Amino acid sequence: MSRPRNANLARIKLVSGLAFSKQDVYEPAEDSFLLADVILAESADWGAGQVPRVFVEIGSGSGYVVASVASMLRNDKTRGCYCLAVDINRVACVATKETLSNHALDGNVDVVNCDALVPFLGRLEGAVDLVAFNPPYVLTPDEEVSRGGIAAAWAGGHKGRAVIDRVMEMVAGTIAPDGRMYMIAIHENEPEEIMEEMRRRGFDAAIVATQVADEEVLHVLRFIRQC
Amino acid sequence: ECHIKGVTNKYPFKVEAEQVENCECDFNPDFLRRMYAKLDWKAFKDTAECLKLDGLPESVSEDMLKSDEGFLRTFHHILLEVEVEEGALICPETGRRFPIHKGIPNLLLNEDEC
Repeated sequence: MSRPRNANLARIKLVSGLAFSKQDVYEPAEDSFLLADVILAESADWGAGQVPRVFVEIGSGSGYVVASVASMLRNDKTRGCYCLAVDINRVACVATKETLSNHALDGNVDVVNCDALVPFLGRLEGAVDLVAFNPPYVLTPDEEVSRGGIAAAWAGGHKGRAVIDRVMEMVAGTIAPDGRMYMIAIHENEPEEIMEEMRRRGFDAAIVATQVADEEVLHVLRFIRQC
Repeated sequence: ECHIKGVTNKYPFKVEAEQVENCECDFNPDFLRRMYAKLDWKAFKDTAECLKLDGLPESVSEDMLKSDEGFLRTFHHILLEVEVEEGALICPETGRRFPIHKGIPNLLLNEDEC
């Protein structure tokens, strides 16, 4: 975990108070800022045909990333994207909704309390243009993964990959041809292995950003579904 | 769709609403046209009717999407401006209720449903 970089809090100022006070929701930190920053930066290169129509964030926590992306998409000339934020932790869902509401974005984003995309796999098959995922990536004993509560925000089990691997397998099929997924991983998650697996599933995979934050080296992995 | 293991008739959920909120949302016909392409229209219309929202046609033509402002406004209102604040999504096969509380549906399964 890393301490928040206060300069970036200015962008999404009104993150739900719940995120900070209740200790039950992951407050935005270096990884949240990095993920949002990278998606925003990469969006400058999107051609007219590449603006996402369906955006999903898995594990929205405080709502920082989904609010940043939804805000950017709303301001875009060719605006009009359906946004969905999911989190396994109900308190996080409430925090996400509050953050969105503080930025008048709650009309544009659905928030659902569920396990990744399990309830949407049929309906969203090949339908999602953009996925953001800041997973629980910390290496922990396996039993911490299913403990619930705030631990769901960081507990990643063996190699910190328990949730990452499960979600990647589930989500791969929901991404549209040419659709993209951006995900945070740390060095210990063995990002090369994660990328190889996604290449086998028909994705182009690359590390598009790296940042040192306290004791962790954060990477942003980008996957693009090959047509 | 309902994701309880073993359920085959899983889409769409029925909806029960105890409290519905109306919010105002920017009218964007392009967005509506794109969303229409991704919707199961019958499911959408049936769900609207569960919520006592009439006014959606049985079927939608290219022309309606292109230039029928009355239709587009109704579509816009039902799609974007009506939100179930309190209620439930109900599995069409098992009747299992997934509660909606403060506008957030809880679709977490119990252990025996996975």
